[in-house]
Amino acid sequence: MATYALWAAGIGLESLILFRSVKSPILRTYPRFCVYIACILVSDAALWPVYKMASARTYQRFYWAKEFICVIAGYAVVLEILERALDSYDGPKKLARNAALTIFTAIVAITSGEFLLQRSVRFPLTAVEVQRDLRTAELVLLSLIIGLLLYYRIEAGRNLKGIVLGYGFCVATVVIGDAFRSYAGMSFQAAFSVLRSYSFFASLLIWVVFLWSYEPNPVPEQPTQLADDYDTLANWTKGALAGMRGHLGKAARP
Amino acid sequence: MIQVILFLILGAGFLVLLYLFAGRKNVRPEGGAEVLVQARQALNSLQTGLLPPELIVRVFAREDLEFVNSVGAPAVEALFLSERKRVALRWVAHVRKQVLSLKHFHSGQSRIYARLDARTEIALAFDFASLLIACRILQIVFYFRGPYAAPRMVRKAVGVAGEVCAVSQRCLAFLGPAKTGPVRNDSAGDSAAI
Repeated sequence: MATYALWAAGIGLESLILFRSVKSPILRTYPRFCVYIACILVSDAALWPVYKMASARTYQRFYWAKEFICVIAGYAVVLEILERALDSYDGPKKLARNAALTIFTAIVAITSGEFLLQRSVRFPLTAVEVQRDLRTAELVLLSLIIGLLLYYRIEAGRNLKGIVLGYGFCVATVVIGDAFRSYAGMSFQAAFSVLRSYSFFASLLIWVVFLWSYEPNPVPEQPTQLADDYDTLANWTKGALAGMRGHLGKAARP
Repeated sequence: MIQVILFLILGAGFLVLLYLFAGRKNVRPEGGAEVLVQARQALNSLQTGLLPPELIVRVFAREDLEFVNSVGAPAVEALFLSERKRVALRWVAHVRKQVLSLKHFHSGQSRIYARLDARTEIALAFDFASLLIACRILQIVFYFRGPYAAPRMVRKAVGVAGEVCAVSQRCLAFLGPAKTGPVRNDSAGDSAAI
């Protein structure tokens, strides 16, 4: 009964988020996030009759299809976060893009390698491992973006902050849950489903609160470059740091 | 099992990062004149905000301890040591604050350059982190062993003040008077322009 209530409430919240987004510039600003929510909404609504009427095996097939569509849509959300968060900062944006490309290439190589090296494909346990790897890559990418925002003290608007918090929380719980599931096998499935449902519901609540109304990302004024080029600034900071570190390093070794 | 622990650490670490991101105070987007003013303030505090080296030497002066010891009053000695320890701790905390100020200056400036070098930025981020950790270690040493427990360490630490002051001199040269000249009043009466 609780499962159905949570399921229905989730569909309600997803519809509400989409409705509020369509009524405001959120849809135009974060189209990929809206597509992601639409994907979740459609798949949740479609899975309901399958869960009630079809066999467990059929439901499992539909479930994994939904999961992989959501993972792909999730990558689009992460890329959207990257672009919107660092929109006015070309340097950090380029760093993040290059890192994202490297991480994505590495994860595709690792996942493909796992498939090729495995002698027998144990569905759905293999699917759990693939999903865990893909979600882990998402987690690393999100960490990178958040790290850059914190390091360069770049402010995120309320909507973007909500998307990052909700999606980040959702991905983190999936990675933790998948780690247990791939270790304990499908016996952990029931506990994982409950954890997943509640954590995703929490994410939906975060999105409803943060995306209730549109708030644009803060845009910096025309930037002022104090140094003529980046190398001058970097070399100066390096020199300053080297001096400070040298003294403190010696101080720490009496 | 090791794999599970790794994923757990990764997930938990990310949740901590998310918490830091959520709890971050709103910083207004900087640009234009505001950057200049903030940079100037940061660099001025780097130059003038630290105690002069002579004063630091006085704080850690061993002769003062010997004098207090010669009086032969344990209560006075204890009070003296606790106060000197407090001053030493405050001083390291202040140096740490200046390092943070330098970090904020660099990150605030470098983010506007399109041609950021990833390797340089990572190296600098590592340097800032290691320097801040070094300050923390000094704080711990002062806290547990006191300012007189490691005189050589203190003498070296005193040098930091001088170095930071020298750095600030170079900062001011780097900015140049043309770039941080006096604030002009170009306001047309109905609007403020700097």
